Amino acid sequence: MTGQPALVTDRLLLRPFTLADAPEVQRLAGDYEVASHALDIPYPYPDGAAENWITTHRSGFEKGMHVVYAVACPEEQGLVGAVGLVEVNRRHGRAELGYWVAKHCWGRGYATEAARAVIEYGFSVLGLHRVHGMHFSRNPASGRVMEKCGMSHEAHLREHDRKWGIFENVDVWGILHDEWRERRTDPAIRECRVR
Amino acid sequence: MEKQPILATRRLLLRPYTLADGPEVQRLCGDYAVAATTLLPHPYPDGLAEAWIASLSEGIERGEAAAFAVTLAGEGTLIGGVRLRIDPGHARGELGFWVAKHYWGRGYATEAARAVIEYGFSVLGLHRVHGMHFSRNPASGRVMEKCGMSHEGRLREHVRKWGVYEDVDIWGVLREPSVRHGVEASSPPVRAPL
Repeated sequence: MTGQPALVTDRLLLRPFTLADAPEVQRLAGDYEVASHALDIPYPYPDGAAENWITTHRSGFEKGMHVVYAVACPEEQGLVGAVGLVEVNRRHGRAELGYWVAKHCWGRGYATEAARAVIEYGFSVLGLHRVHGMHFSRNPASGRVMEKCGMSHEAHLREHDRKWGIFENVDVWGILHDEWRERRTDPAIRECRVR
Repeated sequence: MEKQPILATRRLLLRPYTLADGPEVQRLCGDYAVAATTLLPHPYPDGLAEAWIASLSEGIERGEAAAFAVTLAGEGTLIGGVRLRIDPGHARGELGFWVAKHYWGRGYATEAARAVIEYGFSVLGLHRVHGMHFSRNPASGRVMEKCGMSHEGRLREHVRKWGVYEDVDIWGVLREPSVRHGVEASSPPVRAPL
């Protein structure tokens, strides 16, 4: 079993998380605004939760269930965020895109750049047929990331998820392998490092 | 399974499945036309129906499922099934149903699905029920529409069925929208971690 490769994009390094990232994950994902936009990030972020989350990555990758990356940037101190394909479903040839970006790194296109790289990984390495993504409708910035990744808006699910006791509308976006191949002008992944 | 009541509608009786339904479920769901509109395998393997029925009670007890055999009131003939796949954390259920081909086109699916949606809202306390169907099977969408569901989108090539990627339509209905809007108008929701 080959390990999870690191992916290099124009500005970013996508590498597997290590336990040493846990304090930074807790601090950045534990930001109220970051947590409020994500379905599964708790607030306050409990001690030990980041370690538990990171521990699941390797076995999940080896079982083909998900591919989760730490997003790092030489121009930024520490972590920029996380990106990944989760819920990889071989039977239906699809996976769900997920990401979060540290608040001090918002608005610089990092989410789009990282998401494009894992979408490319999903289609070219995992051989997926479809990648979809979901975001709370009150967070349209996430929809713009998906749009810039070439995804099409497919559904608006009313009050589909409950986050902190409130039922939230959810938008669904999707991209198919053929669409990705046709619109791809230059690759998002500059280099793929297999350790 | 004993936790589930019997739901009576005008023409139907919705009751819990029993293991004795196995052979009939296999025969009816083994119909190619029925299997083609669902994620069921074809041919329908021996033992699958019994294994599925036996697996139901665990999900029902955990509050993650509700499943009813749909029978004709009176003679008791099994003609289909309706189930909810429940996500308790989000208080939502996914509706699924099938009707034996011989009984298509008579409104039985709508009548049964309506009863189960109502059960989901009033007894299980769900906030939302949604349903998905292959876009090539618009009859299923009409059932959802007649159940008061709204079309919320189409997921392109979301499901692979027998080697073919299929578009899927998604519909949803919320509990008592009028009451909820009144509440929201007076007190805007506070977004805070619980």
